[in-house]
Amino acid sequence: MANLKYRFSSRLVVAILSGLFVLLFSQCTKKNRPGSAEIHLLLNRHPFTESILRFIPEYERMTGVNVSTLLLSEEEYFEKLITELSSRSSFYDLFMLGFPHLWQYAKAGWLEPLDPYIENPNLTPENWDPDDFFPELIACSRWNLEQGAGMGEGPLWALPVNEEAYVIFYRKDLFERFHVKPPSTYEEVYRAAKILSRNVDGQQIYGFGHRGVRSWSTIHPGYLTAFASWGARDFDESMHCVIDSPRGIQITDLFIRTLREGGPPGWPSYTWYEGKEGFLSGRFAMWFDANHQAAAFENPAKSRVAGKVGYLLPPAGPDGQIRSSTWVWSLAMNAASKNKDAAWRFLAWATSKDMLQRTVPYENINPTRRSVWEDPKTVEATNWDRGEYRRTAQLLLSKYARIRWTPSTYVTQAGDRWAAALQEIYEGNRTAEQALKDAAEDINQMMRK
Amino acid sequence: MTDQVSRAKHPNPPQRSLPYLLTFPAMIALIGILYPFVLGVYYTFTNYTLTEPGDIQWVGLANYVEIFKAIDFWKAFGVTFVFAASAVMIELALGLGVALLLKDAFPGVRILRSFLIIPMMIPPIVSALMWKVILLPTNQGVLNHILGLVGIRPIAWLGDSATALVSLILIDVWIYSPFAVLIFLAGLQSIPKEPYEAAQVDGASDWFMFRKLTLPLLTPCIVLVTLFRLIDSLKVFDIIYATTKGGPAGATTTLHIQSYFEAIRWFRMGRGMVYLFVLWFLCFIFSKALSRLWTKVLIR
Repeated sequence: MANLKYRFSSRLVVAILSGLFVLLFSQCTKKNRPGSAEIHLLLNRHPFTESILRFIPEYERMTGVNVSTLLLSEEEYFEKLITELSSRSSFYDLFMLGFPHLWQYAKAGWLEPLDPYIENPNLTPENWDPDDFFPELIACSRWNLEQGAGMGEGPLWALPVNEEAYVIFYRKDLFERFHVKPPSTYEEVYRAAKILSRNVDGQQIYGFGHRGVRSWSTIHPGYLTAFASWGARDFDESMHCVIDSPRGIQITDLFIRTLREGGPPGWPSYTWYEGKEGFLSGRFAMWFDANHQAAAFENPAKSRVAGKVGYLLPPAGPDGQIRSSTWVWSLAMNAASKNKDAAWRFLAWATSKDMLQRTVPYENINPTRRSVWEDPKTVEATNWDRGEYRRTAQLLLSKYARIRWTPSTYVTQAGDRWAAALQEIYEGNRTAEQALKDAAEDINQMMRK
Repeated sequence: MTDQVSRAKHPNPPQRSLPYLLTFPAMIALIGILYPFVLGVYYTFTNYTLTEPGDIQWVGLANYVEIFKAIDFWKAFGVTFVFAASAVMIELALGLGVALLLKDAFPGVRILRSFLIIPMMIPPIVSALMWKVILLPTNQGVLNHILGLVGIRPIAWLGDSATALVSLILIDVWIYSPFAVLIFLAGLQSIPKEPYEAAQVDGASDWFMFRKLTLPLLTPCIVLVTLFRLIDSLKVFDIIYATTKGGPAGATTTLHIQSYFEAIRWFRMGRGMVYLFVLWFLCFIFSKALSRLWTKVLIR
């Protein structure tokens, strides 16, 4: 009887273990089945992705291809992406990225060059029209893998789906009420921020807002725009970090003083999410960030400042030049993908004129195709502040906005260290000169390895 | 008959292999734990960069030497200790205090005990995000809004290096003090009543009984709570990541946060693993020492 019990229980254990293995292996084979009519997308939470998701069922019905998606917020998204790509997983066929990641991942061999797909008439519809993309944005997506140079050259690694440049959003009503002239220099921004940091009808207003967390993404919008307009640079021709140049120190000191004396308390805890919420709820007089946030600010259902927002080009530097930073969200293909043709077909569909046009009503403004930007429906949807939004966006795109980082695989590392230096200055622990010199030294040391 | 003799000499195969089969999952789990650990230690001696997986070179102790020479490491080391020591001490004191209040039966004590475990039922990352909203630096934050009603200007709880670490310690205390309370409550309820009755007959004061009876009898629980909370506090990541990400100006950067920056954000796996290995070593030393202490206390 005991023997029977043992035999039964051992068989049960073997059966359970076998079942588990079968389950495990069936999942593995399902993951890597080549040529299956299924593609997997890893996406960052963004107006583009949230709008394109609405149309994916339509794509599935049209093509018979199953599209599975995983949508994550920005920090978690990039962690997941680096884990997938560095393990050479073929699971995700397409994903989103910005230029620092494009440079890192292209150099690591994780991105599929897209030119051959565009040139293949069997894969790309005739009316897809690659020349319709703004050339500046296509240039941002090409790189020849040379550290310190080569942007706009070499293979096309991704296709742009959303662009942003940086403006100063300002509360016209507050500026008028307190007789402050909209600023056209950074000194005027400082003075206006100080004047407008005040209690207005029982609510504390802060003059000037900007991102502040310890991340390269803090450097990237308004601060880098000011830094570049002042004639300062991140690296010289020999890839030596020069953020501690006299011009760099001067504008950094002014920028951080503006935040300390005219900004909200706790600036180092601000991501763009909190800053955007602050402006939406009427707590900032100025907010220096991505221009497409206008879609939220002008939406009366979400915003307490709808109809009161003005759009200012970033101020010029001492030489009268405006050098705005810019950001491009793009879709790229995993070099390890087993479904490249199917992935490309989806990519071509998602970046077609028709699809990009259809995402505009869902806040994916600043389209990357000229035809969509000029379409009467887009003009009508983005004609805020009597056309001022479109005028500034157009000028930025055509004239002032460029990627201000030197192409390299070190942007995120260098930017994180740089942002830590800004926090030190803000905290009053170090002067701008001390903090930037130490940061430059650390960045140079980082790059020697 | 022959068959029976043969079976007695050679027990049937399933019976013989059963112990192996039953320990098989444990072996798999052990390998699953040891393999990444050994691999991680190996990476500390290499220049492994996530974006260059094909170019891993042995660099000996270079990562350790560089990191031990860097101010950032010692700063993170200090923050880790201040955070862990402060959080554990407050949780012990608060846990013991609340447990003493709740140990006796009075109307509503059951409801109070049930409410007490609410923070433990919320995932720490959710608690941290909730506290981030409460501690927002402007009047948008719940706490600053309340303080504003009595004329106090907004405080940048998480955005100022003077208050950020203290705020994080308090968040940790809010989440984990109930754990200490539960252990202490169980401990207090298991202490026999006779010694207290004898002491009362002799006219001992409450303070005397607390020092000479309650604390010594509760020592195993105190060591247990210290062990669990100290190890957890040294390894803390979620609360800091969700609120300050190590800022402002490195004021809340612990060893774990710095390892995340090194390995995941800057792709320098070799260096990131050094931070984690140091952290593991600290946890190992403390857990070993406290486990020994616990055994000694139990034997005594």
